[in-house]
Amino acid sequence: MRILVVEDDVMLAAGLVEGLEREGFRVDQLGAAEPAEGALGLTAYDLAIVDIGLPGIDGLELIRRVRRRGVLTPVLILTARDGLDDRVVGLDVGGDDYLVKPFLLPELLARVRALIRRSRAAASLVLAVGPLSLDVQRHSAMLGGTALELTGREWNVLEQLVIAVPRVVAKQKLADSLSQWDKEITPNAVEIYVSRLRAKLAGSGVGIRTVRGIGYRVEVEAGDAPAP
Amino acid sequence: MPRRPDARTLRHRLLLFISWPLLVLLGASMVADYRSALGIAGEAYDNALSRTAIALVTRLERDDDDKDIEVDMPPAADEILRSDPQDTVQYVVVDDKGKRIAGDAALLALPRPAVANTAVLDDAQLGGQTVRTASFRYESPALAATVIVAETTVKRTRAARQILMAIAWPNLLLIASALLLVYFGVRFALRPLDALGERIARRGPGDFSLLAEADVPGEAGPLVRAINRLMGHLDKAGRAQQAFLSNAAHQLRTPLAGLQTQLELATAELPPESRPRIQRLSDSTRRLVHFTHQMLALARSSSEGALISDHRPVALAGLLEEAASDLLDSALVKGIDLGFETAPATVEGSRWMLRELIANLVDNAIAYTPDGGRVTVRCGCDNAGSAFVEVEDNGPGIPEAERGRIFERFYRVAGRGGEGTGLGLAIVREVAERHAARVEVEAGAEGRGSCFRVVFPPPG
Repeated sequence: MRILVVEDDVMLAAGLVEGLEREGFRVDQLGAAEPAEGALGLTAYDLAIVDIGLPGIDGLELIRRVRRRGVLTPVLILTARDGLDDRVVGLDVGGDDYLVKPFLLPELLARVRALIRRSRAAASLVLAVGPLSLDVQRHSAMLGGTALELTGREWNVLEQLVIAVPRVVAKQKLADSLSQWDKEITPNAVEIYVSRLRAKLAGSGVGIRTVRGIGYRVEVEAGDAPAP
Repeated sequence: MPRRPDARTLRHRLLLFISWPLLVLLGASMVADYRSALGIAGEAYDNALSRTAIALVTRLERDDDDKDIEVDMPPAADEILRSDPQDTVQYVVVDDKGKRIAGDAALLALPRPAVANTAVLDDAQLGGQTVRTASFRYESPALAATVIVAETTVKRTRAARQILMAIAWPNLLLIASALLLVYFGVRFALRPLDALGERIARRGPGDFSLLAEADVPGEAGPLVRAINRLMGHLDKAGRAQQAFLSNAAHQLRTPLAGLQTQLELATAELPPESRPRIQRLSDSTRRLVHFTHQMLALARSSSEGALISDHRPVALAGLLEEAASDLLDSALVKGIDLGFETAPATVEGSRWMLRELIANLVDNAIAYTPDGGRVTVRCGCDNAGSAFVEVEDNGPGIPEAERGRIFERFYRVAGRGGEGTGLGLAIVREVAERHAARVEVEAGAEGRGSCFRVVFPPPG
């Protein structure tokens, strides 16, 4: 998978390139918006990481321009400003997610994976979290190499949760999306599907964590993580 | 001019400077009217008195032996002379040598006129009473004598009183209506200024738009222009501050991001014996990163930094759901059960700042709650309709004596570890102040732990 990093700070850019390469991505790096615009138009990158504070044309303008040219590559915005306006503008012009500097490498990698996963879901590819993988087009799930039998509603809940990783999905949002193609589903009914999914995922290394009062999150269970 | 308490407002000054001169003028005109009316009335009475004196003179004659002067005054005439219904009229006729010829001896004490053959009018005191006198010194080759007629002033006083009443009522009415007209006139004239004041008072803290000069009176023009200039300066200062913070943020955060990333990469490469050293470096860097973030957040949320307002309606439940994902991991590291209880509540505010407020309250609760503890975040509306956010933990709690100080910048409760910057709760306080909200701290449920509650002002 190929990623373009557009960042002018040499030390950070080198760190990003190295960190991403260690994770198995192929990475190109550019320090300014003008060459990046050309590169994004010519090469089908799986993801672009764009810093807002570039010299000359800034990152927001770069995203605006490539989106105008019809480039659909998902974009992760890096910003040094934590004001909401930058984020809103960033997402408005066509960014897909943002990360405020400074960040920890694992956080960046998680966002990168989530963005690629989401864009693949849109392109009907396979989503994967740890040993769990979902084929969005064929509505089939594999767990550690064996097929996982799911009902329609179970599939729907799991798909929502996997697409959102590492973010928490509100129980109400799950209920709303189930209600779209069925009669009214209450948030309590969602609990039933989640507990069935938990039973099916038990012991696989992937689990569904309850966030009291909000909803659920799919996590890869680390060996030493405290029990929920 | 010394400032008097009642001269403080323009309205008072106008009323003062119009009413008092007006009152004095009207008073003076009333006095003048009274005096002239009194003069006319007095003249009529004086004429009558003079005529009496002259009539007496015409009755002077030489007696038969042509030696003495006498008055041809039958008792009936004397009766008629003294027959005034209100006043006592007295008279005396004196010859050249000062000898009384006729009339009342009491009048002999009165002065006699120096000029001859003309009636002289005067005021005098007679037996403790004020009297009006008309005296006439008659001189002819045939005879010389002086006639003095004195009359008490009862009808003159009464006439004066009647004139006074007749003049006073219309004048008082005039004064009252003039003052009333002035009062309402001033009020009406100052209405555009009141409206201008209200328009300025109604502005939000971050509203630096210029005041329209068209609908204010010309006199207020310089004031409005001065206010507009000030607004312009504030707006520019606010924007400059924001621009500075944003540049500072970029210049601080980008190298920190590089440093942090390089350190993380180095951790994996170095031989095991160097790991503790690099771990210490990483820890310090993380603290520096956190501190930088807190400093910038505080600078942006403080009054100086938040001149530019970005307030919009923010749904608190949605904000908590959004924050949950970010806060969950730090809770999981300590095995803390982080839970939420949300009810619909909307606050007019800055989404970014409110998120900082929630994140700092939760970070604080997580930092000071022992492993395996419980932190619950709530939002909703209280009975008064005020939206609130609440973060409760079951940690050791905060001694009551410390509760007033924990919101100070860089203050940290003694004997409590953690890697806090001492800025988290200061940010909470600043953000609360930006939103006119109050922050309450009390013990948590069953007297354990602590509960931070931010109550926003009720809508409207």
